[in-house]
Amino acid sequence: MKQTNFVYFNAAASSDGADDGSMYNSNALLAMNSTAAGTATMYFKAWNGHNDAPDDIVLTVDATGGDDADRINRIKAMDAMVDKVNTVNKQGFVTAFSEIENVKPGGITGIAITVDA
Amino acid sequence: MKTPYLYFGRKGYMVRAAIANGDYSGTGITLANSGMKPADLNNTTANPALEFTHRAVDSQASTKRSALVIAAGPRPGTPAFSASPSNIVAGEVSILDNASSYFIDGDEELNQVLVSTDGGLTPTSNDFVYLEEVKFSSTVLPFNTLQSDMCLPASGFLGAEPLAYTSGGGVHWDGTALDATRLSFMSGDGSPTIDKVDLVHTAGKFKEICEALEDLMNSSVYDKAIIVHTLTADGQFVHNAFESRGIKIFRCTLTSGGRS
Repeated sequence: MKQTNFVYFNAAASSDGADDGSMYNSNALLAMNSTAAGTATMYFKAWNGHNDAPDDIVLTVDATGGDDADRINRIKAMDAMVDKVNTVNKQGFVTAFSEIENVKPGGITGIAITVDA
Repeated sequence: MKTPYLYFGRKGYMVRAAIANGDYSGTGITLANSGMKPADLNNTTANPALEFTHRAVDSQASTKRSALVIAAGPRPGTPAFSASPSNIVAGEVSILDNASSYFIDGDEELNQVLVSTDGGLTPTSNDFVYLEEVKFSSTVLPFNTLQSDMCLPASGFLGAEPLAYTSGGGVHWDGTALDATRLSFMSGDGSPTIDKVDLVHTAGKFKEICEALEDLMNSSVYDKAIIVHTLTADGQFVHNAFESRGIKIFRCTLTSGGRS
């Protein structure tokens, strides 16, 4: 069993440019919260080691069903990410979201990655 | 390392010493003092997400309570109105959550309507008024942005500390004594600040809150967030780890350190 687990994200149809993808130690997820209609945000310890800001991954969910349906959808998205960061497997590697592989758990329709500069 | 994640949703609750003329100017309703910011200002219809309540400390004669308030009756579980229901007896609790009894003005300040043929109640400055958010609604902010909710890893929990809560004499309108507790977590923005969850709750329950948190944070729920507290469209949800210990949550204020 691997002792360190990682979560992998792919945000675009390719993974060859800035913010197309990222990978984090599962323990690096600091928090999540709602940020707007149809979006919740994950905050990871910044890739550059800075402590002035996190790396953000914005999760987009369906917001067409009204405010309470939107609230429930945001929680479902966070639930899915909790499941991903807590998945321990033999490889020690979990695809949390991928456009290329069409891995889109928890009703998440898209993600946007912003790493700390 | 697996860790449970705790989800907290915000709930607003404000207690104020009553003001005899009903004009609570100078102190707006803010996240800091109430855990909410009502959005339907100068409301002409009642906001179903908010309950406005008056608790009498003083007895008053001479028709201080309107027919509308009498018809609404006392809050459930509180004393029946006296034989002269338009007068007020100490300890009585009146329902005022209708547009004839209060509104929130453009400065986000509470305005209580004094007794008249159209509604209202005239308080004394010894009385208390309560504005409580009772269910999820987009008319009370923030409802889908930062500080409306937080999902935090148990591994980031730093500690709990009891806080004083003295607003309204530290008493809810139903007579429940109140205390407050702060839960501190490592900041979600990775900076040397903290994310804070401030709870106003049933008094004398600090140790029980610590026990409930210990239960939740040592649980084996890894496939979804553990919803500790939130408001839904149907009302309030409080995790059984709290409810089973007799802990009622009246306010939940969320402060995210650093990020905006």
